[in-house]
Formats: sequence, C-alpha cells, structure tokens
Amino acid sequence: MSKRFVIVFSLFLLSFLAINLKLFQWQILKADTLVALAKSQSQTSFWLTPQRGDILASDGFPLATNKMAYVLFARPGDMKDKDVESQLLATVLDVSLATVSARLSTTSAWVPLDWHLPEAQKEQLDKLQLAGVGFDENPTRFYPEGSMAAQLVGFVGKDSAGVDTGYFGLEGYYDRQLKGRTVLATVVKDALNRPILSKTDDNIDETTGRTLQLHIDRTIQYDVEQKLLSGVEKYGAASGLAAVMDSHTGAILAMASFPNFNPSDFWDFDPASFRNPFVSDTYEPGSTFKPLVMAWAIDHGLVTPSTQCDTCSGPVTIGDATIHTWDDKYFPNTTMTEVIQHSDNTGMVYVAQKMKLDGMLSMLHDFHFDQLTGVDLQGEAEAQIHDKNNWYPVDLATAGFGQGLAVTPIQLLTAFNSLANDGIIMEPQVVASIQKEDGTTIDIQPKELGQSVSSTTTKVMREMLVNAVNKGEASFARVKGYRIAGKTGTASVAVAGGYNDPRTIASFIGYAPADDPKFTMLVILHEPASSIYGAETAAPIFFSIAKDIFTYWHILPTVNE
Amino acid sequence: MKLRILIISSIVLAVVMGIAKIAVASSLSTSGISYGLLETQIQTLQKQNMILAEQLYTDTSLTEIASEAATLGFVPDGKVVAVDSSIPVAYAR
Repeated sequence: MSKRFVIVFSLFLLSFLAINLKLFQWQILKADTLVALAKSQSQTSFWLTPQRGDILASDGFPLATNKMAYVLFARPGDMKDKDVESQLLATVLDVSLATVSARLSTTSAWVPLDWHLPEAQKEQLDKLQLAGVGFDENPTRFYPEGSMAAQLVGFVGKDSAGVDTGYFGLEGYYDRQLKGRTVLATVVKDALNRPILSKTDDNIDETTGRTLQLHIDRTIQYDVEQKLLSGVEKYGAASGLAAVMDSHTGAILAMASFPNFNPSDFWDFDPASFRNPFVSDTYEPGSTFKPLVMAWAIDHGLVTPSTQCDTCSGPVTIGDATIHTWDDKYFPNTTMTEVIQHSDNTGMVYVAQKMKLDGMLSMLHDFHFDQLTGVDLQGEAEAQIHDKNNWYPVDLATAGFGQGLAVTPIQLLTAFNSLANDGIIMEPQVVASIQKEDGTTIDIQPKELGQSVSSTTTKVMREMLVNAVNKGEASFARVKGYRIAGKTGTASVAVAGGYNDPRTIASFIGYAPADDPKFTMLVILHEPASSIYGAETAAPIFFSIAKDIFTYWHILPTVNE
Repeated sequence: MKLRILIISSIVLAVVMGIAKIAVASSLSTSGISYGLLETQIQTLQKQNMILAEQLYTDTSLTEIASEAATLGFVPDGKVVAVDSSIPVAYAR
C-alpha cells in the first residue's frame, strides 16, 4: 500500500469522523433545542378554546347558547387625550367618568375596562377610533329566555384557574359534556410568514362541546313560571316551586321555582337562589303523602276503599301526643275513600298502625324514598327518614299523614307518578339526547326504576283521588269537564322538634287526565300568608296550569257538567 | 449499454421527481395562502352568524314575545270552547 494512498484514506476517514461527530452533536446532543428553534421559526402554536355546547328546549330553541362579546382594554400610554377619551368611554359604557378615569390613572401598560362588552357597544366605540383602546374577542354565555328555568339550567362562571365552568343545574351536571376539549393547534408558516396547508393537530376531533336537547317544553315552562310567580305574589308565599312530568316516561316537561335568578348576571343575586329546591331541598310532604301510604296498604290487603275506620271518631292519642284532623272535624266509621277525600289524619293513623313499622319501611322502600331518583341535575339531596331503631309509635302514626319525615319534591313527584303509570316508577329525566359535533346523537331512553304497587291498586287509587278532587276541599278550583286525580297537602313546619309554628307548606299533587294520564304535576308554596291551606293556594295554581296544558295539548273534556 | 441506460434513466427520474417536488411545494404554498384566506372568511362568517343568532334569539324568545303581546293589548282567552265531535244519539228526520 503506497504512502499516498494511506494519507488520502486518512483524510477521508478524518473528514467522515468529523462530519459524523457534528451530526451526532446536532441530531443527538442538541436535537431538542434545534427542533424547538426550527419550530419557533416555522410554526405557531396556540390553545383552541372550544365553543361550549348549547342547551336546547324540546322545540330546539336555546335556553343557553353563546354570544359574541369582547374584552375592552386600554393602553394608557398610547392614549392621545386621556380626558376626552375617558369622557367618551364613560358615555358609551354608561358608567361614571370617575370610574373610567380611576382605571386609566394606573401605571399598568394594559388596563381591562369591560370583560363582556356587547357587539353594539363595540361598534359604537369602533366608530370613535379612540387611540390606545382595543378589543379582544371573548364569546360569552347567553341565555335568550333570561331567567326561565334558571335553577334547572344553572350558569357558567370561572373556576379557581379562571377557566369557564358550569355550576348548578344542567350547566353543572353536564359540564364535561358541554365544555368540550381545549386542544393545542399548530399552524405551519413559510419564510414570508404565510400559512402552509398542513396537518395542524393529531387530536382535534370533537373539540366543540356537546349540545343537550331537553324534554323541557318551553310553552309549559313559561306557563308554569307565570302561574307560579302570580300565585306566590297573590298568596304572599315566601317561595314556590312546581314541576310537570310526563306520566309514562318520567321526562321533566317543566320545573320552576321562585325566587330565582338570571344566569347572565348571577353575581347580582343571592347565592341561596342558585340551588334548585326541587331536587336539593327536603320538606315534610304532609297530606300529599297519604295516597302513597294508602296505596301500599290497599296493595298489601290491609285495607280496602270501603274499610271503615273505627278509631276516627275523635283525636287519637299516642303516648304524650294527640293527633287531630286539620279542621278538627271527625267522621266516625269513615271509609278509606272518605279518609282521602277529607284528608283525615286520624284515618291515616289507623292505616299506618295496620301497616306497622315494617310495613311503613317497606312502603318507603317500594316507593324509592330510601334512594336518590337519579335525576340528571346537580345537587340531588337524600330523604331524611329515621333509622329503623329510632322509630317511636308516634313517628309511625305521623308518617301516615306525611309528617316526621322529609323528602325532596322530585322524590315525591317520582313516587306519585308511579300511581299514574300502572305502578311503574320512572327515572326523572331532563335531557332527552346529547348531540355530538359530528352530527350523531346519543338518545337517552326512559328508564324504569321499579314497581311500587300493582296496576290494579293504581286503578283503585285513581278513583279515590278523582273523588278527592271532585268532593274534597279543593273542588271549587277544579277544571270542570276533566277527571283529574290529585291530593292537597298542608304540612306544618317543624321548628325545634315541634309543630307549633303557624307557618305551613301548602301543596297539591296530581295527574291528568285520570283515565289516560299525560302529565303529573306537583306545586308547592312555602309559608303562604293569605291562607295556610294547600286547597286554597297550591290547588288553584295546579288547576290553572292543568287547564292551560289541556288546551295546549288539545285534550278534550270527557265529562259533561 | 445497459449501464448507460440505467444511469440516464436515474438522472431523468431524479430530475422529474425534483420538478414534481417543486411543483407540489409551490402548490401547497399557494394553497396555504388560500387556506388562510378561507380560515379568515370562516371566522368572519361564524362571528356574523353568532351575532345574528343572538339578535334572532333575543327577538323570538317567549319572554320577549309575551312582553310585546302584552304591550299590544293581547290577553289570554279565559274561556276555551271544545267542539265535541261525537255522534248525536238520534238524528231528526
């Protein structure tokens, strides 16, 4: 081998090694740094904030959607005439000059003046062409029907990290479905900073929030709210709530309560009004509970509609307690049908004592009062029922007429609805379907939770409840021409373990038309002032709403009167 | 001879592929500009759609319609008449 060959070979070898060393340095040692540097020169990455899904009523009209709004900001250092601009800003924003001036007097380079500036005001400011004033798009939540179904819908606020988050109602319960996924998107640009058509992200399928289609019927919801608000004012009640359920599917057609709030300006309202009392509060149901106790007793052969009460000729004494009827009128040998008609407490004590404690506990279990209903709303509360070992004889007696235990209105509505549905308990459902970004829909099917009593018993109860409506205390308010099955309720408010407080919870629960139930409804008024009785306050509201639903659904009268 | 054809073919192939690459890159680059313009247009339309939807929803909400109806003097009809379509018991001859 010649010397010249060795030299040339060595030079090539050294060059090869040098090149490989440099490549090693670039591709292995400094790879991450160089890749990042290259990306910074050719790519721009940013977080894509997904658009929050809509909440639609059954007719497709949004109860919650998004609208365009802007962050209005100022750069005080860039403003030409701060005094003049402050005056103009104050005029357009409809705030005091002092407020704007105070914000602009800061030494900060960037000062936010409004976080949710509407489009109209933005256009006004655009025309003024103010120096040092700018806008950033900031779509915000919009509730076209204002406070309609506020506690049911909930609202969107900021969490501790400043991220939009749903609270209460559907916004809270379905927050993960509604908010979508925040993704990092990348745009590749050429040397002249023009975008190049390229794949931006591997994982941006379905980033937009899903849309909820509700069972809520906007017309019924509006009517319920109008009638309930009117009733709360007319009867001087502290608060009121009502809900309408589809008797066969358990779908919630309307749910309202007062006082309520406006989700668009929730910060201006008492936080106590954010809770949905229909699912989050418990109360003693009083006489609206009697049909359930009676149905269970009939179903188990303990009584029949014609069974006569032999302990109903006067007040019933149990231990230290004496139980009276609501009007202190007594009907010796009254039948069970009349017990429901007169809402006779002594008659229900008679039934409860026949059931005994095990029977009462079984009744509470069979009507699912010992569990949550599973309604798709945030904050469902549990019923307050004594442990088996803490029942005294008087507790058994009072439970017969719905005192001494507390349930949520949604539990009572769900349980009572089973009497309208051949004894089948349906899960209360607010959302009918969930629509995905790609157009596919997830339908939520009605769900049977169990059987409370037999179908035969519900038919017997139907006649007892129709009789109660036609001949009971609320008969003056009933809708003539229609058979409605229902029951009034007037529950004393328990204070410090007793019932001496004159305040009451007045209510009415029922379903209609009785022979082919379409809806089940519960109306509750807390502490009505004009009359303490459900028959004179909640019942007229119930019948007024029922009448409107008959008209709206074209349900014809079946009785000539 | 075969080697020569192979070399020429390789060179031609390399040139064709090079030209194709330039053409595709050039096409992508221009498409990128169009893509950018389309993106801007989509955003503008989405924004306008959002603004128009807000106006539509505001003007057609039940709350607004009921308020407007009350202003115009419309009131609910308290009496509803149902026309019964059942057959009479007897027809007059």
